[in-house]
Amino acid sequence: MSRLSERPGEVIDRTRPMDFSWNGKPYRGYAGDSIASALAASGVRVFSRSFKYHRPRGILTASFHDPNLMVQVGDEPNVRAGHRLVEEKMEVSAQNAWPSLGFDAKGVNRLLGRFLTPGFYYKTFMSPRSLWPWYQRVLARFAAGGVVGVDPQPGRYDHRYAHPDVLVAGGGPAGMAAAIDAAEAGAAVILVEEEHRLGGHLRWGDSDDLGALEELSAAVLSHPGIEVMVDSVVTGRYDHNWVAIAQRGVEGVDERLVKARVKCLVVATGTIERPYVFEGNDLPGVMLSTAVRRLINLHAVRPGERAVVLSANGPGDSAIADLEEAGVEVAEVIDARGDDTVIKASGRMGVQGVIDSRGRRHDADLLVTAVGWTTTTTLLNMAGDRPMYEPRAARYLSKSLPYDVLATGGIVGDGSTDQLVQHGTAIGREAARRASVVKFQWLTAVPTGVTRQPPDTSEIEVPPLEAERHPELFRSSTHGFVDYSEDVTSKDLFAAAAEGYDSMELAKRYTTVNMGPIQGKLEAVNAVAIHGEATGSSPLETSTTTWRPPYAPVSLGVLAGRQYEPVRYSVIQPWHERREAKPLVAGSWIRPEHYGDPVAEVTAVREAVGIIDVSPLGKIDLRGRDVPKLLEFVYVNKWSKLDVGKVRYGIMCNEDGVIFDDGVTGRLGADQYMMSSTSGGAAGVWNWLDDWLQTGFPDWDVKMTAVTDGYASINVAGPNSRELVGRLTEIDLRPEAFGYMEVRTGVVAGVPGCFLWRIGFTGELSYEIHVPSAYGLWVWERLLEKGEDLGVRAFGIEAQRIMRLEKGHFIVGQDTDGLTQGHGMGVDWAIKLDKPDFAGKPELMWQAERDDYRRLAAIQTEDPAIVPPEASQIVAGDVIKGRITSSRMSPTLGRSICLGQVDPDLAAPGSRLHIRLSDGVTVAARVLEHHAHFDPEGTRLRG
Amino acid sequence: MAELSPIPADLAPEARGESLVLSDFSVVPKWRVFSGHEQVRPGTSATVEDRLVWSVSPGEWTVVGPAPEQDPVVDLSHVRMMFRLTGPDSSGLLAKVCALDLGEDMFPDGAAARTLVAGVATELIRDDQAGERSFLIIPSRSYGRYLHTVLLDAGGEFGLG
Repeated sequence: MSRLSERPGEVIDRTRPMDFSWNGKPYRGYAGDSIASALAASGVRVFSRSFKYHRPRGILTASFHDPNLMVQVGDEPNVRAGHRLVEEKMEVSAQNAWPSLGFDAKGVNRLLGRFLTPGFYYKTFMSPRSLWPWYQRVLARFAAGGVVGVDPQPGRYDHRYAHPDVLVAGGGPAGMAAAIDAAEAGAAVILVEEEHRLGGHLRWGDSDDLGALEELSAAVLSHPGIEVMVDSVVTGRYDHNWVAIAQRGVEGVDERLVKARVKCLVVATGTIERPYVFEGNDLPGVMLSTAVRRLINLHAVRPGERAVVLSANGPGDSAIADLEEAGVEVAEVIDARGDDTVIKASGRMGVQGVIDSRGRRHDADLLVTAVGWTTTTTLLNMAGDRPMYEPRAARYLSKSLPYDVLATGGIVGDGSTDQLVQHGTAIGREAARRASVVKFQWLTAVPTGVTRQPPDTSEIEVPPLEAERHPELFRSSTHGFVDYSEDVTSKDLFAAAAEGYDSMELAKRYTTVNMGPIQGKLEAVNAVAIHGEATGSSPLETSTTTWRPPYAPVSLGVLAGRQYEPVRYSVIQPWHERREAKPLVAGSWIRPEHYGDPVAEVTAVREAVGIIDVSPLGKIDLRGRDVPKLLEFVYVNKWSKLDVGKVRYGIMCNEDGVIFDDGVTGRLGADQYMMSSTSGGAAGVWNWLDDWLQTGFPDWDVKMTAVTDGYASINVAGPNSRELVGRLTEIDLRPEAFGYMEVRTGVVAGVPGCFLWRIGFTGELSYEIHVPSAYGLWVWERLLEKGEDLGVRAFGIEAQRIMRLEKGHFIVGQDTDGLTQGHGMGVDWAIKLDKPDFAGKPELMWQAERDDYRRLAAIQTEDPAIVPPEASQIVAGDVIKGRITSSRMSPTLGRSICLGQVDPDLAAPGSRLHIRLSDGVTVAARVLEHHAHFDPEGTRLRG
Repeated sequence: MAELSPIPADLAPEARGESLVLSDFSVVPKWRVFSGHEQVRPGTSATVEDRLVWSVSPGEWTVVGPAPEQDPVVDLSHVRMMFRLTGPDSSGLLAKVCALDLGEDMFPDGAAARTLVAGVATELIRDDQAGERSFLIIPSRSYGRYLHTVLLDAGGEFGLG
């Protein structure tokens, strides 16, 4: 093979040489060359070793779908060398060959070929089972494919949405014509082409074809209504014309996934040339007619010296002319439209001779076959079409399409360029019309929709495009390769049929035909035909193939895209970061777990004063005269008499009586309430309330506004908290003026619009200050500044968790689970079954009548140094009697402290428990009288 | 006492691209009202005297500008941030992070929606400025830093930075 002088349609730029390496040796190609064409121009004939038998393989299709052209480029395996353009300094190497492509040691498999029949691995390595790990290690070394780099790849991948009126898949003559006329009719069009350039088969055609190509592509590229994506592939069509496109060639992006919601999809994906099955059909030098036409006309590569051509169609005959023009001696033309065919290609590392059906041997290094076309119906199948095989034309043809999908070009039928363009033009206009119908329906559904005239409902007349008569040519009288990717031969398909695999679906899974990286594009029709031949049936006529997305392989990177994962920060976050707080991921919030020493943080709060950022607490502003009714309904306790200035603790249960959130709600004004929820439960509480208001009580006057982010929330806790807060506000903090469970509004550190409530999760005297959030950091810093002499210290979630456990306060979701009903948590005082109704009441009434539920209990281990890990089981013999839900070492009490869920017979104070630790050791413990380990009377927080 | 600082200064006030400007208007007063703007239908926005008003759900309006007279009024100034994307490339950037069709037909000037932008629930308003395409993005404040970073990242190909 060698480079030809300039060709009229060539796509290489001879002024821009590209130096690259192949298996460590230097090579030179031109810009516009594929890796394969650049190597072929330098005489390379063998590109890979096959999957199973390690047979030498060369160019077959010279396109993206060439099974023999998988190579390694740098760290990237399985690069399609028939498609990927060569680049300066590219390091290309062969896959699946050791020690070299020329001498592949694993080629020994070829000699064993008659033993490597379908099912060989299943049958041979079944027993003894004990040896399987060893088999596995050895077999893994025979696995095909390249090598993935260990280091993360620096590539950039992203996603984009698109909403075109018309999307045309395929940029051949019909596709281009459809795009132009759809755009002319006013549609916004995206045209997607898998290859690097528009044109389809026109690119390797004669001067008339090239003239038509120039005219069409100029019209496409200059049309403002058409967005052209080349080197891109429509990977799938999903419900409601949701179309995925893997787009390459965007500047700064390696690959982009375009998610397009298409009003009308035009499928113009054309046909793929089918290989012919005969002995030696995989030898380097056996090529499809389209491959030689691409090599000669696009890349100016002479594909061989002496050729035999097997042709059954016009394009195949055109290849003969191309070969002659390229200076290839055409030794013999075998016309497959008659009775003649090829029996065998022979040679060691490539074709040396061809034997025809008359028994004649022809010396040749190139055998070109043109025996038929497979329609690329993938997208049609995905749109619900069931294309049927048409024996007259030896291909599958569309049967029926939904309203918003149309087809044009070679996938429909054959014709001259003019006929294809005429068909595409009509389909393009019809696509634009149908898109306008769909758009009109959509516009009527949106409030801002621009009203316009109803669209034209009369269909555009589409000229016929008939599929030409074509002989059915699948296999010669000899056996050869059907699936090049998986090394499956026609003999294997016959063997599978003989073993009883008379269903194609089973034979496919048994032999793995169609299951390689080419996914049946070249081999599916041959496989079905040969399976039919082997089983004596005619499955082509009765079956259709299922094509699943993606149409072509996509990278994992493009599926992942950019990692846009929302995270939430409090406005005080910059301070936390400056103090190197250990970040805690709490749902989407990033919160400070501690600032280095959680024990010292606890001590500061117990002995002086601490401040914690509790901004993520859910906050809902409630207005309207029916708010008390809502509170009465969603909480288990009573709310009808909550005076202005008071706050109350409440528990929410779902319909099952299961506790799902707790928090306090305060009355800030006559008709104004502020509800707080747990940080993690905020969204759920909002939905719960909104759901009841919309579906249960639409007539209630309640106006809800989520204001979680409107306030930075700072809990000031500890014996010095009154003194500290007093230094920043004029609000009267004396106990008699601002008591426990009360709320006040006012100015703090000069910031108006704050509200404060006196509650105490930590068990200390504490004020929770809610500051309009833009001023949150300001107030936080003032508290630290003004409290320096009071021993103020910031504390994190961990210190808060220790202190609430000392105090025996449970956390919903930690000390409860998805089955914990209200009465189990020691809050019977709060559950008011005498209320007329509230969410969860029927279930809680039933629970109250039973005595079979677990109770929350404070638990103390006999050995004060042992802290049973959370989720440790409480056991009686081998029976599970409960579990530890929270546990810590208490710095205040100097011993371990626990909360746990315990069966009723062990829940009474003083009960002896046995806790099984993760190492199997059982330790003794007892149930305490109060949930609170520390200050059970609550004198500190009420002080 | 040191000066009150209204906004943590961790966001750049303005980033520019070739045909795109991203600016932070979070400091403007924003309000929620429940009556008084029935003529502004859900899914739309309108300028009412010196205020911008929009609705994305029945019975609720967001007002930007001086405090409204309606009762009740909930102050959203601190709850929400407000970014403005202006320029011909603004819809191109949003197409990378928002699944809505923001084309001229489906989302013309004056359109309003509640939607996801890069996974964050936000309100999105088409509010052209002197004939130039412009969008307001109004997320909850705690998502602001993340969303600002994402908009800069997505805007890289339009020269935003």
